[in-house]
Amino acid sequence: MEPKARAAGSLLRRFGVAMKTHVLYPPPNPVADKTTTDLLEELRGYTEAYGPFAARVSKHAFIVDGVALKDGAISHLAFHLYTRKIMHLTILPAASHAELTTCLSLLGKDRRALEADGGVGHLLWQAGVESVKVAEMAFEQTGVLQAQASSELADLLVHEWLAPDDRERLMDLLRAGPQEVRALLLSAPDAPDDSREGGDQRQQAEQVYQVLRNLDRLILDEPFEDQPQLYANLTAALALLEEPLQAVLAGTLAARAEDDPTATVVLDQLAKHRLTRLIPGGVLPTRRPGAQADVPPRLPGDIRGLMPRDGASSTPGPPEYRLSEAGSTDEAAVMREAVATLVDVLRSEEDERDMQDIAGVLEGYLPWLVDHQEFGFLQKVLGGIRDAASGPSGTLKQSAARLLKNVADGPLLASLLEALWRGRDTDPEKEVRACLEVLREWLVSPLMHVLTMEPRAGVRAMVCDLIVSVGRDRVDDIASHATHERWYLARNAANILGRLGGPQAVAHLARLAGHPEYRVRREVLDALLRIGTPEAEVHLAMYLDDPDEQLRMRVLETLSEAGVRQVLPKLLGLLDRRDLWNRHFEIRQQVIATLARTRVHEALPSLRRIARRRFLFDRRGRALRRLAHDAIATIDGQEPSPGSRLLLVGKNEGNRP
Amino acid sequence: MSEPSAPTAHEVSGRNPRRVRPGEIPRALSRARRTAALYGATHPVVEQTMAEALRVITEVLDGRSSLTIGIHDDTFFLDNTVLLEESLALSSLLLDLKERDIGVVEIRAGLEPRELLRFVDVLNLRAAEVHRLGGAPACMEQRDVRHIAVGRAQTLLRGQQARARVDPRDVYRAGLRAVSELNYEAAKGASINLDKSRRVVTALIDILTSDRVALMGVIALKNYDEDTCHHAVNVCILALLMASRLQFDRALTSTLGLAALLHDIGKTRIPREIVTKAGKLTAEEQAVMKRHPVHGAHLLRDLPGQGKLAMVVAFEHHANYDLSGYPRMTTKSHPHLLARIVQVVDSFDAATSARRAYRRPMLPALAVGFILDGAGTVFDPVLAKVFVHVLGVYPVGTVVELDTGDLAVIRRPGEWDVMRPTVSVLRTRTGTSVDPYDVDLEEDRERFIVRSLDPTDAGVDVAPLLAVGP
Repeated sequence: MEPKARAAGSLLRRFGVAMKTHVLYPPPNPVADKTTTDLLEELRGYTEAYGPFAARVSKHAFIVDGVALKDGAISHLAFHLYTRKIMHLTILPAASHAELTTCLSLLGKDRRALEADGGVGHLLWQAGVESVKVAEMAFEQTGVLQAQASSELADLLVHEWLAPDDRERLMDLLRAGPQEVRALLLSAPDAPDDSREGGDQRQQAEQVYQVLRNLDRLILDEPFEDQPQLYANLTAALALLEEPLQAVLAGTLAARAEDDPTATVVLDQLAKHRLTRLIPGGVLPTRRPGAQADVPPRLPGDIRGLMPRDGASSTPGPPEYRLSEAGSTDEAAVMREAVATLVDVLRSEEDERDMQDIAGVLEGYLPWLVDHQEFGFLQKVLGGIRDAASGPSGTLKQSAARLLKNVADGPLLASLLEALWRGRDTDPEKEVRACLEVLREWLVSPLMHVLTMEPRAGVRAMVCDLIVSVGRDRVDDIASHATHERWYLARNAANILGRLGGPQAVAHLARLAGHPEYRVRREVLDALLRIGTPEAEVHLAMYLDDPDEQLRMRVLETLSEAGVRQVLPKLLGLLDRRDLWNRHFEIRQQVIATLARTRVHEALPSLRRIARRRFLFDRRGRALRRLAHDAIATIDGQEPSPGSRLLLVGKNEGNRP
Repeated sequence: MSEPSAPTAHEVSGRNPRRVRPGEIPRALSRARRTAALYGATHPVVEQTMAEALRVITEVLDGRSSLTIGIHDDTFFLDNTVLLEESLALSSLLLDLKERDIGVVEIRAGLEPRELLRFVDVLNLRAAEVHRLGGAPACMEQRDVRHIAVGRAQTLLRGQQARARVDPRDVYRAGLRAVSELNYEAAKGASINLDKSRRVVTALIDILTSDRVALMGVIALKNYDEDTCHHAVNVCILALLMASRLQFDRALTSTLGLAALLHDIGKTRIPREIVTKAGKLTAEEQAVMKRHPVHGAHLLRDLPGQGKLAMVVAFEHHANYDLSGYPRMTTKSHPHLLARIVQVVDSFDAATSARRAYRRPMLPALAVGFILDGAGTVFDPVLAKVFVHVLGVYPVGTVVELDTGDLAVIRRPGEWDVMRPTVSVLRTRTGTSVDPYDVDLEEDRERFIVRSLDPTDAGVDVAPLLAVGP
């Protein structure tokens, strides 16, 4: 409902309460006074926003700006006023407390008493109430509606779609007879009365003509058997118009006869009712014959094909035609049709608000498709919306994108993920994945959010897979979740970034390399290794200082030659450090093996120093020396001997994650 | 203008005598009740409405000893004739009668004005008061009303229901009102109430199953244009005829009827000056007009159940079978079956009913050819053929010339041969008018139709010839 209608409804409810209170506790009772004050306050709010309050009163409703207000209390108030013959109520902004009190007291009176005293309008006038105006239904003895009512109807006729009640009132006037129709014609909005001078006769005739035209259209909607009488009354009413208006109007009709069927019909009717004296020259103007566009010159030969052959049944069409489509109107088929149409409606809309409304309706239908496992169709629908979202039109693009974002970020995603989880390794899985693929642009953040909430490891792994498949261009979004306080989310983010393999992820991963949780650092290491760019290998150097030896070893096992060169000073530092008790035996052993594997010549001096050492009393020292020997030989171009410890180091630990 | 003279008495009175429809009795009673409530029994306006009601009753009685107004299943009956339009329009009278346990009102010949006034007085009593006084019959007795008897509603037996007659013209009238109300609701942005439309469609389906030709007669008059309620009702009837031929089940038929009734509802959102423009539309105005399917879909988007297909039809009924029309469709290879049906019948009705200064209505027989010409491109080829089978090559109401030179009007389509309908011969080859007599061209193989004629050019008023109903 429009805000104005809502405000009007609220004001009318307040009016009703005040009126009842005035009946029960007549002024100066303070209760009545209070309700009047409340009403005045409500009225002020209304008039400040929308100007004077004006409502038409029908039997069970008020009509404010064409909107019917008829809920319980308002309907009762409408009936109360209706039985007091009030057809229109206007309250001006200047209405005072005293005026409202008088008005409410009057309206609360008994119907017969009011009538005996001359009616509400008269009593308000007598009491000097100027800011509350009422128009009353007043039938004279002839049954003619008051001129004010006619004017209102004529105004409605020209400007509004007619409410059923108004239409009925107009038809009553049209049926009543020519005098009544004449009054209606002359009450055209802004139509000058008969006394005006000739200068604006043409304008007056034009206004009457417009009413005439609208009446013609009104009659056109009446049953055919009623139309002759209605047209007869309309035509006879023209004969009752005074001069010079009649003459000018007749001229207008004659001039329009070529272009306007109303003029033609009225002129025909004038001729039919032997009123041709009203037509200029007394004869109907010759009409230009209308074209019969697109009329085939003869019946197509195809019709012959429709004639049954001898003995054939006349039932047309192959029977399967009837069965296939007419039978496919179950709930699912209807829903599919409706949703597909809504997609096209959305793409055809031009008004932004309508577009948003349709998008809202469409969004409301999508869960049904998921619930009924219509994933293939859902993909088509989402694809249609995505096409709209990628089109050039600004508003449509925005609305469609907003819709897809809502879908990706709403409960539908959870349903789709659940369907994906339940349907894994089945055909629906592919369809669901295809649906999610359509949403890829809007899916990363919501999926990352799912990861924060989802307790099931399997589902989390599935979601990670999904993010990998849809998040190639959304590394920054994914990385923004890497700093989440929950360590496992950081680990998932690192895992996803690594699997995406984009070099832009390196900077984000580097920030996680110092994460306090070992499992996160391990995931980051794997990710950096997967990315494998020189920039990534630079950051691997950090792991050489990692408190976890396994991670340090892992880095050494997997460094490439370029990587080794990047971190060579650090590696040589490890080799050259004093370690009398060989506490760092394993790492130094791995460093030597790595240097040998990558054949970095710059490491030879350090290796030779180890190889030349004497007086080594422990087994580890001697092992390192042997290893250094083998490494030097390998770097110099010899293949390691089959029993070389270098090979063992490599075999034990593996090369790549 | 020539010398104006004073209008004659006939010109001024303008109250042309016409047949009183049975449905005018409840209308007159409703008016009388309303004025009595507003003005009190002694007011001259009340006397006038009472006199009018009495006139209507007397005219409908037409020498009979009594008539009975009954209420069954929220529907007024006059004797065994269903008063659909009044049932839809006078819902408050219906409700008030039911609240007072009045299911049957028998009005006997000899009714006096004061009795009618007392009856209306009983109707205006509060329901609780009526019950307190012992019920409506007791109230009537206390007021000494002898020529009106009221009683409780009786359940109609199956046989009685079967005997109930529905005048196609009354249903047509109800359809016009229903469409008019729908248009108003749509134009005002209010929620659309489809109850009345559903009842109209149901009644049309009932007629369709009992007398298909009666419906064809009702839609044969074409003095309107495609922006009127007549067009909506005619499209609905034509669509129902198609559904009947295609052997749709009742639910789908009903959905199609409703969708057809609503197919142009989007025009309520087009400025009225464009919709009702007398002359040709400019390119800009045409573009605005072409938005009506989108508006229609928008207005009908919230209908529940199969009603959703009404939205589909409103959106697709100009899309064309090969999608060359408007608006653009991207999600389907063809419009929906119901939309394709509505498109065929809509095009036919629009072509044959144009009341525009720049375009003459097409002769029905030529419009049938126009549909067939577009089969496979604009129209579904199968449905185009079905349509011709439904209406015949020469639809009911078409004025034709026979090979003998006789002038005739089509009464009913041929059962077996679309080219050989039953005709009613009006004039001989010499132009002599004859008492119309029917010739079934399927039986009389000697004669055949040569061509169809414009009724105006031929000087034939087909309206009285097509009068249908009980």
